[in-house]
Amino acid sequence: MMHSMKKYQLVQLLHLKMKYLFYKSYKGMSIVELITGMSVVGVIVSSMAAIIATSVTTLKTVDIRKDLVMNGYYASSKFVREFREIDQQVDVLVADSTTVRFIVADTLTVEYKLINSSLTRLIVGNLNSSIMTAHVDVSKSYFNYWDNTQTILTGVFLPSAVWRARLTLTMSDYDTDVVFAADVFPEDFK
Amino acid sequence: MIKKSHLISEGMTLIEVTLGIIFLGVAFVGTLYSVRAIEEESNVMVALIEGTAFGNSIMEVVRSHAYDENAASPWTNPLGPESGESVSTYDDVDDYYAGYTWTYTEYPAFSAKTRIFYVDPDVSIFDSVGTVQNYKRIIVHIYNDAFDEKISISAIITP
Repeated sequence: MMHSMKKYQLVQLLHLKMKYLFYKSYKGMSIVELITGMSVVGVIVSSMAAIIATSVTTLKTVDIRKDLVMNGYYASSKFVREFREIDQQVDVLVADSTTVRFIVADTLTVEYKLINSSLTRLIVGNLNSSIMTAHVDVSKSYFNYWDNTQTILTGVFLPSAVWRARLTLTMSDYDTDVVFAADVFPEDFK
Repeated sequence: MIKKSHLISEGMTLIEVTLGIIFLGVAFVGTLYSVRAIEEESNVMVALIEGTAFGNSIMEVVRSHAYDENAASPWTNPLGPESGESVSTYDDVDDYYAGYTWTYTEYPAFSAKTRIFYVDPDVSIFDSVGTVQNYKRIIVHIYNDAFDEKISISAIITP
């Protein structure tokens, strides 16, 4: 008799446990279960949201950085290509930290200038400059020059002493900074 | 018409809830991996462009030097800086030979090395011939952790 009772209770207990695993509940949830469930879901969702937000921010930063790099590379490459076409040192007309003006292949006088958060290019004689790239931090961007002994030119110097130039371009957008340094040497100077 | 009691009477079993959480977790991790892959791809692309700009700059600096220590043939052999020369007094391209290391403050994540040697176009424009020629090959190797391998830019110059 006792043995059969125990067996019956055991089956009932097992049935109760299995019910939670495999059967639908008809009772609904108690307030404690509800609060506990909501807390757990809240913790999981907030941590997932934080990770997703970080990923989105990183993606945005990467995208901004990519744009800055592409634009900076284009602008500095354009400057390098034109400066390389100078035929002789006397064709460098103006050379200071924000402006460089030179004659390209004896035909065109071009001026590059760091001004108003931009690197601009003016064909001398034209009214308007074109903007090679925006988002330039002008306070951290500059032109440097070296003479033919590879000595950096500082202070007051003749533009015709310029042998090699470097454009350092610091670009900034939404707290993302990119720095470009582009050296250029006109081969015809040799 | 569906009875209201039917709608609210059935909850989810523990197994259904557990499976649901596992599926969500797997999907979430998969999404994160995808986002990470996009980030890495973009970073590599950006690093390639910056590396190319860095390498081009170095090439221009090297090319702005004289072909050789001597103004005319015969050219020097072996290559390298002459005794007493330091980087501030390097005056010809081969002073930067044999793995001279370049760093720019503008490109803190990058480093570069240059190799310069004589080539004979009749033999090979790629390999050093070890003897004095009217051609020098300049190679700039650019290094960055984003690349699996270095990137290289090369040019051949004449007097």
